[in-house]
This record gives sequence, C-alpha cells and structure tokens, in this order.
Amino acid sequence: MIDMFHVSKCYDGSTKALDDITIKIEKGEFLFLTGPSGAGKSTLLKIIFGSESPTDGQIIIDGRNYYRIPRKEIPPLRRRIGFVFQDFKLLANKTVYENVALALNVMGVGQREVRRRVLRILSYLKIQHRANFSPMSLSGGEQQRVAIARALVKEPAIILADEPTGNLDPVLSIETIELFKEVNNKGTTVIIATHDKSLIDRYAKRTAHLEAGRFIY
Amino acid sequence: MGSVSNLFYFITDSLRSLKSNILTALFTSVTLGFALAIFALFLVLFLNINWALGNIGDNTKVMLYFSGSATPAEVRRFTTLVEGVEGVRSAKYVSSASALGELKDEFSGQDLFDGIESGMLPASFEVKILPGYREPERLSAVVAGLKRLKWVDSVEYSAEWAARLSSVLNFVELAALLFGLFLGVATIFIITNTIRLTVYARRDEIEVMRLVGASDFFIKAPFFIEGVVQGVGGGVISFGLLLLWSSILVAKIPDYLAFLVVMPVSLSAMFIMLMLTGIAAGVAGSFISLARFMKI
Repeated sequence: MIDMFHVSKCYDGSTKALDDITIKIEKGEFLFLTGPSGAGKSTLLKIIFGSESPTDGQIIIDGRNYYRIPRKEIPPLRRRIGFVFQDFKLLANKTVYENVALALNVMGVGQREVRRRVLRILSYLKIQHRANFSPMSLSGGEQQRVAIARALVKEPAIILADEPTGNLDPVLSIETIELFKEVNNKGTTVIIATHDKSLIDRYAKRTAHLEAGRFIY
Repeated sequence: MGSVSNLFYFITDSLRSLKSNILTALFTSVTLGFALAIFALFLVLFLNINWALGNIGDNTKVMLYFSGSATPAEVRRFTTLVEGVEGVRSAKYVSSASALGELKDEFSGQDLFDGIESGMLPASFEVKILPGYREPERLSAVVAGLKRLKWVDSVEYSAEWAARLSSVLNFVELAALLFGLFLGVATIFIITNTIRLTVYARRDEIEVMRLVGASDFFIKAPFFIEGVVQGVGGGVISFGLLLLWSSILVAKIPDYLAFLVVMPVSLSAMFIMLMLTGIAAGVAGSFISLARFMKI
C-alpha cells in the first residue's frame, strides 16, 4: 500500500526532520508511529499526505510514485486519505454536519448521498444529536469525533492520525483508538502518530519508533 | 450529476458565506461602487471636455479667395476639386454678394458699407478641416495642397489659432491620461484590498478545503460567485451615485457648463457598462486576492 525508500526531509538546507526512512506498510495494516516530540512523526505523515515533499528518496502509494508530486495530483490523493489533525482543524462558522459534509462535497458527491452518509457516520460515532451545533460549542472529545467523522465519511483507503489522543483523557483516548481499530477491521489502513506509551502497550499492533528523524528498531 | 451537485453547492455556499459576512460584503460593494462611480464621472467629464474642444476645433477653417466670379458649373467643379484635397472636410462657396451681405449683417445699424458694390469683395470658398488635420504641421500641408489649385489667388488661415488649439488639446489629453491612469490604479488597489479582507476572513476554510482534497476550481468557484454578486452590487451603487452626483453638479454649476455632465451614452448603456465593469472588477479582485491563499 505505502512504500517509502530512503526518504529524507531537510528544512532550511540543514535541519533533518527525516533521515533515510525506509518502510513498507501493507494494505489493511494498523501502525503506531511513535517517538518523542520533534522525532519526525508529523513530517512522515505530511509526506504521505502530500503536504510536504521529501528532499530525497521515493514514496509509492498504491503503485504510484509520489516523489515530487505535481500540484494538480494532490487533491485526488487527499480524497483517498482521511487525516485526523491534532488540532482537529474544524471550521467554527460551519455546523458539525457541514464540517463533515465538506469532505464529500469536494468530491462532487450528490447532496442526497452526502446527507445519508454524514448522518450515518455521525450516528456511528454517537454525535448525531450535535449535527446542527457549531464545533466550538462541543467538548474536546466530541470535537475529536467530528474530526474523525470527517476523515471516515469518505471511506478512505488510508487513515492518518496525528496525535489523535493528545487532547483527550485516558478513557476518551481508548475510545478513540477503539474507533480506529473498528475502521481498520473493515480493511482501512490506519497509521497513528502518538507518543502515548500506555496506548501502544495496550494494543498489540505493529510499531515504528522514530528518533531524530530515523527509525530505531 | 456531480457537476450539477457542485453548482448547487457553490451557489448555496456562496450565498451562505455572503449572508454570514454581510457587513464585509456590503462594505466591498459600496467601496467598489464609489471607486467605479468616481472613475465613471471622470470619464464622463473627460469625454465631454474632449467633445467640446472638438467642437471648437470645428471652427478651424481656411479661406480660399479667387478673383472674378464663377458660374454655377464652375462652383461645382471647384468644390469637387477643393474637397478632393487631403484633410478637407467640406467646402462652401461664398460669392461676392453674399460676402458683402454677411459683412452688412455683422455691422447692422451702421452705414459703413452703403454704396459699396458687391464686386468689391472677392468670391471665396470657406473650407472646413477634418479633425485629424488641425495640428499646425498637418494644417500647413493641407494649405499647401489648396495653394496648388491654379485658380486660387490666396489662402488665409489662422496658424496661431491652430497652434493654440492643438496645444490645449494635447495638454488636456495628457492630463486626462495621467489622471485616468492614477485613478485606474487606485481603483484596482482599493478593490483588491477590500476583497482581500473577505478572502482573509475565510483563510481557515480555504486551508481545510485543501486538506480534505478540494481542487483549485472547487475552492475558487464560490469566490467567483461572490465576486459576481459583489460586482453587481458595486455596479448598481456606482450607477446610483453617478446619477446623484451628475444631478447635484447640474444644479450647482452654471448653465453654460452643464454639457460637462451630459451622459455620452444612453442611461441603459451606462448601467450595463457599470454592471459589467463591476462584475469584472469583483471577479478579478477575488482571484487576485485568492492567489495568495492558494499556496497553503
């Protein structure tokens, strides 16, 4: 599904965020990307997501080489990937429903189908009663669910989550990871960046540990 | 189906955005309206001044004198010959008798010309010059062409008048060009900066749209529609302001200057032109402002 070969990323010509990363992630796999803050977890996710280009190396997703991805090919790639951001990136001037629907609207899905799928995912995540609320009036855990709903509603092949439990208490953190596990059980590839060791220990999933931009095995 | 759904989404999204940012949208339309109205008023004044100067230029005439009298057949032939000279718009025959008549009319009530016979004054042709030939150098060339006609005794024209008129026209055109350029640049600057405010207010939305996989077209389309709506608003406001300002000016300025605010085109044509310019400015302003935020 995702193959990275000797990928490096330098900022300002010298600061190495990633250094010679090689990893193969199979379709339907569940991977924890671990490491301390600044280890390069977010950069790795951004490269897969196409919001950063590697300075060196190759990245192949579904047999397609995305090294130096042309600008016009970024939107189709992102429609196949659901990204859950650490700061949620929800729009305050839109309702919960509209925030989630946005992911389908950009794909040109008809409004009737948008409505059906959005209500179904909100119901699945138990936040359907918040559909007409502004995300800003919701608790941190609910906002997290809205962000996950927006990532899942388009039924992506890959889910990337950057510290999805960073703002949650332990109970909500476990609930959130359980959600990702359910999605993964349906065949979606899930990559979660986290530095929460208790979560990693709780789930017997493959783990890739980053330190100073390099994998430590 | 997808494109119809998208169009529906773009329209509803644009209207919702305009509604939720109604004050900013109104501010943009009003600014656009004022900027366009100022520019349009300038154009109206400039076109009317130019028209008035052109009319004064119509007085640029050359007199051709010849001795003796001419038969009607000769007058027709001479007229054709004179009008055949490059730069001549028209030629009018003035016989000795009518020249004396005009003179007597001019000094009516005085007996200066009593007893003078009509043959005392030479017959002439009053030659009017085409607009493009009224500058001193080109006028000299026209006069030289007229002098080459064998039957012509003498040619008279006011070189000083032509030179003064030409310099006034050149100055007005240069001043109008510079002022128009300044006004045009200022208008574009004001419009793009005002619209940038509306785009800036939605920068988070642009970022999130990009992150969920929106194409450039999908992001730009609602702004395009908003630009059109704001442009229409600006067009209507500018038309209203132009009518208001011209009516105020007509009331305030002396009658002999009233021609300055006469609309050079019909009101409906003026309305359409302002609307189209408003829409073009609104859309261009949206796209120029958007370009900055598309690099997220």
